[in-house]
Amino acid sequence: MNDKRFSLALLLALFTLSILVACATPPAAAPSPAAPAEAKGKIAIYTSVPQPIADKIQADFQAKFPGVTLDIFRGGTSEVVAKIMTEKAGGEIIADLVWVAEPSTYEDFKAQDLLLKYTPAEASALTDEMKDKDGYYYAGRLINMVIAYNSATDPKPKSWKDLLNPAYKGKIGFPSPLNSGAAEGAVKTFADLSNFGWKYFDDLKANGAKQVANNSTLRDQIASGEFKVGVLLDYMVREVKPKGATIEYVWPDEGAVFIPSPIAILKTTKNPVTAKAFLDFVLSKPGQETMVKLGFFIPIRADVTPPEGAPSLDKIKRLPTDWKAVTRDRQATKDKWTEIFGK
Amino acid sequence: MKRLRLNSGQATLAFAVLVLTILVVYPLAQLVYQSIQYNQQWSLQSYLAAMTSESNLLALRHSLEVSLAAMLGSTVLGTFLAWLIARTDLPGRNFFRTAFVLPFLIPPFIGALAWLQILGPVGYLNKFLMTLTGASEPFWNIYGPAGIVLVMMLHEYPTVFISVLGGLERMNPELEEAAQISGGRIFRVMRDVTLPLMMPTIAAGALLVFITDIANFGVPAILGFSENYYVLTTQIYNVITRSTQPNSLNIAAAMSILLALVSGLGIFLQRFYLSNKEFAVISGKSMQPNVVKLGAHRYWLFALALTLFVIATVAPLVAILLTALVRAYGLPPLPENLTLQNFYDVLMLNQSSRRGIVNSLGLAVTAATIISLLSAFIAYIIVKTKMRGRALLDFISNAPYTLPGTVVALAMILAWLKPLPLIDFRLYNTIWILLVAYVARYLAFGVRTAAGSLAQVHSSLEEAARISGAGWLQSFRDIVIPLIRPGLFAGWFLVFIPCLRELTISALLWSTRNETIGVVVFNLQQSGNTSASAALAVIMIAVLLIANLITRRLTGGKLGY
Repeated sequence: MNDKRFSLALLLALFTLSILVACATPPAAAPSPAAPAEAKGKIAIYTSVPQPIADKIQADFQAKFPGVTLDIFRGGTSEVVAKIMTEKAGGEIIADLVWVAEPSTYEDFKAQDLLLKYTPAEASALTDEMKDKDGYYYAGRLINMVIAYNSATDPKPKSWKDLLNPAYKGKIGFPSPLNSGAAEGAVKTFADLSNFGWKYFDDLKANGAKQVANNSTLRDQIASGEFKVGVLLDYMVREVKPKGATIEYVWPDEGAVFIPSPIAILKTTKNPVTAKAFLDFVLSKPGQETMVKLGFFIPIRADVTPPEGAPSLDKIKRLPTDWKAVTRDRQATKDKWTEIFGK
Repeated sequence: MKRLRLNSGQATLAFAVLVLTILVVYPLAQLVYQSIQYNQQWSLQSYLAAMTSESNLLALRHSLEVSLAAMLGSTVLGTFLAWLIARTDLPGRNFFRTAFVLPFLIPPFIGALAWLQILGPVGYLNKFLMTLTGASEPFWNIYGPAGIVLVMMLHEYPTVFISVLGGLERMNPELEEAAQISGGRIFRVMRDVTLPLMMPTIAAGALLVFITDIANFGVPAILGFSENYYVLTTQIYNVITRSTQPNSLNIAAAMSILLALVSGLGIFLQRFYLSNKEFAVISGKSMQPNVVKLGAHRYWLFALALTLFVIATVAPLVAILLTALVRAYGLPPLPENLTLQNFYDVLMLNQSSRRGIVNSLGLAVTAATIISLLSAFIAYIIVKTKMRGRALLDFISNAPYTLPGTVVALAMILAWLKPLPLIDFRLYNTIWILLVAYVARYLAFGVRTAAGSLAQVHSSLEEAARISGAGWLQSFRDIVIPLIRPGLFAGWFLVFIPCLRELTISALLWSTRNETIGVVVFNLQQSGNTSASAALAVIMIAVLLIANLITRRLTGGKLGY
C-alpha cells in the first residue's frame, strides 16, 4: 500500500517536473524567416580607441541593443594586429571587428583576405576619403596629429618647424611609431615631404626630442609639464580639457596629419548581423553624435556638429599621406626610426 | 585485496603523471619544439634570429646588469638590517622585524607604479625639490635602469633579510664568544667570525634575489618601456604581443629558452650554496646571542632604520594613494584637486576593472583549491611510496615555479593555442588557460607544504588502517588527509595570495572579458590612464591586505605578515 502510494507520488512528481521543464525550455520554433535579422549575441571588437572612450561606447551600444554583449580588447595598433595574427595562427580569429588608428593596417588585412566586404546604408553620407573604394573599411572616427603643448609653454608653437626651436630643447615628445599606428602615419608623412624628410627627425633628435610609448602617456606627460611640446592626437587634448588639465593644442600652419581611423568587419565573424549593426551604429548620425559627446572626436559626417572649439572636417588643413606607401614601407619606416631614436 | 590496493596506488600514480603531463610536460615540450621550428620546418633559425638581433643581445645585457645590481643592493641592505635586528640593542627591534618585511605585501609592479609618482620626472619629490631649489630639471629620473634597480632592491631585500635573520638567530654563539674571549673586539668578531659563517646563507639569499629579479616583468615594463629600455622578459613580451613579423612566436620561444638558461644557472649556484650551508654553526637550541651595545650610535641608527621603513613601505603607498585621489594627472595634490571620481570610474564605469577583480578572486580560489587536492596525491607519492620515478615527479611539479613566468606563459600559449582534439575546445583566449597556467605555476607551493606535513605522519597509522581492512583510497581519505589537513590548508593560502597579485603570466594570457586585476592596472598604466591605474592599484593593495589579514587569522599567525 505504502509502496503503491509512493510510486504514484513519484509518477506525479516526474510528470509535474517534465511539464515544468517543457515550459522552461523556450520553444524551439524559429521566428518567421521573413523577420529582419536582429542584432544579438556576442561580438568582440579589437581596437586602439582609448579605454575610457571604449568603455563609454560599449555601454552606449549595449544600451541600444540590449540583446548584445560587446567585448572590447584594447591595445596599441601593433598589439591589436599581433593578437589577430596569433589568433589566425591558432586557427580562429576571435575578433569580429577591428578598429585601429589608421588605414594602412586595413590595406594589409585586405591583401591577406581577412576583411568582409560590406556596404552600409550610411556609406553614401561619407566623402570618398572616409571610405575604402572597394567597400572593405570605413572611417569610424577622424583623428589628427597636431602639436600639443603645456599651458605654461612659452613661446607657444605654431608650426611643425617650430618644434626645432631650442626653447623646447629636451622637452619634446613624439609617440613611438613602433607602437602607435597614428604616429607611424605621421612619421611616414613627414619623411615623404620634400621640405621635411628624414632630416626633420634628425633635427628633432638633435633638439632633444624623445620617443614616448603611446599617445595617452605623452598627453599626461605634456599636461604634467614633463614635456613642453609634443606631437599628439587632437581629441586627446579636448578630452581632458574639461577636467582642468593644463594642456593645449594648435593646428599647425603647414597642416595636420589627417587620419581617418577605419573600422572593418573580419571575414571570419560568426555574428555578421551584429557586427554590421555595430558598424552601422558607428557611421550613423546618432553614432557620430555619440563619438563627439563621448570621445571628443571630429565627426566623419558633415551633418554632425563638431565638438566645441574643433573645426569641421572640411575646414582642416591637411598634409598629404599615402597610406598605401605606409603599408609598403612599414618595416623601412620602423627601422629608420629605430636608427634615429632607438638609443 | 592486495591486488586491489596495488591497483589504486598505481591508479593514483597514473593520475598524477597524467595531470603533470598536461599541466607541465606538454607545454614545456611544445616550447622546446617550437623553438626549433621556423616556417613550419625543423631549423635553428629561431635561435639564430634570437641571438643575432642586436636588441635581444642588448636586452640580455640589461637583464644581467639590472639583476646583478639589484642583487648586490638587496644583499647589502638585507644583511645589514638583519644584523641590526638580530645582534644589536636597536630600539624598536620587534616593530622593525615586521616592518622590514612589509614590502613583500606589495607586488613589485605596483611598487614601480608608486615610485613613478615619487621620482618620475614630475613625481612629488622631484616637483618639491624643483620648487625648493628653483631648478628647471627634475632632480632624478626614475625611468630606466637606475629606477628599475631601486624598485627591485626595495622589494627584494626582505628575501635576504629573512634568511640572514633566521641564520643569525640560530647561529651557535659559542664561536663568537670564543673569539671574543680570545680578545677580539666586537666589530672585528662580527667581521672575522660571524660574516664568514653567514656567507653561504647570504649567498643563497642573494642568488634567490637574482633569480627573482631576472624573471621580473612588471618593474622593467613600467619603468623601461617609455625609455625603450628592455630586459629579456619585456623583450619577449614585446615580440609576443607586438611583433607582426612571421615566426615571431618561434623566435620568442628561442628567447625564452635563453632566459630559462640564464635563470637556471642562478638556480644551480643557489642550490650549490644551500648544500654548502651545513656548517656546525646552526644549533637547534635557542641561545642568547651576542648583542652589540650601540651606545650613542643607537639614535642615528634608529633614525636610519625608520627612514628605510618609510622609503620602502610608507612613501610608495602614500604616493599612489595621492595620485588616485587627484582629479587630473599632473595637478598638485591640493584639497581643491582631490576627488573620488577615479575610484568611481574604475569600480562603476570601467567594466574591465570590475571584471578583473572578480576574475582574479575566482581564479585564486579555484587554483588554490585544485592545487590543494592535487598536491595531496602528488606529495603522497613523493613522500610515502617507493615508486620509481617519484623524484622525477618532484622535479616536474617544481619546474613551473622555478622557471621565469614569461617562459611558462609562452609555453601555455604554444600548447593551448590550437583547439584540443576530440572536443574541439580552445583554451587560448578563455579564462581556462589562465587557470591551467596558475595551477601549474603554483603547484610547487602546494606540493611542498603537503610533503612537509606528510613527512610528519608516521606510516604506522596508515598501516593500522590497512590491517583493519581499509583499502588504499579509504585509508588515504580517512587517515592521511585528515592528518595533513593543516598543511593542505596552509598550502591553499600560499597559492591564493600569489594568484591575486600575479602579473607576468596574466599579461600574456589574458583576453577580452578574462582580465585579471593586475593586468587591468598594468593596461591602464600602459595606455596612459595614470589616475585610473593608481585608483585600481590602491584597491588591489586593499584586497591583498585583507587577504593577508584573513590568512594570518585563519592560520593562527603562521602565514602572512
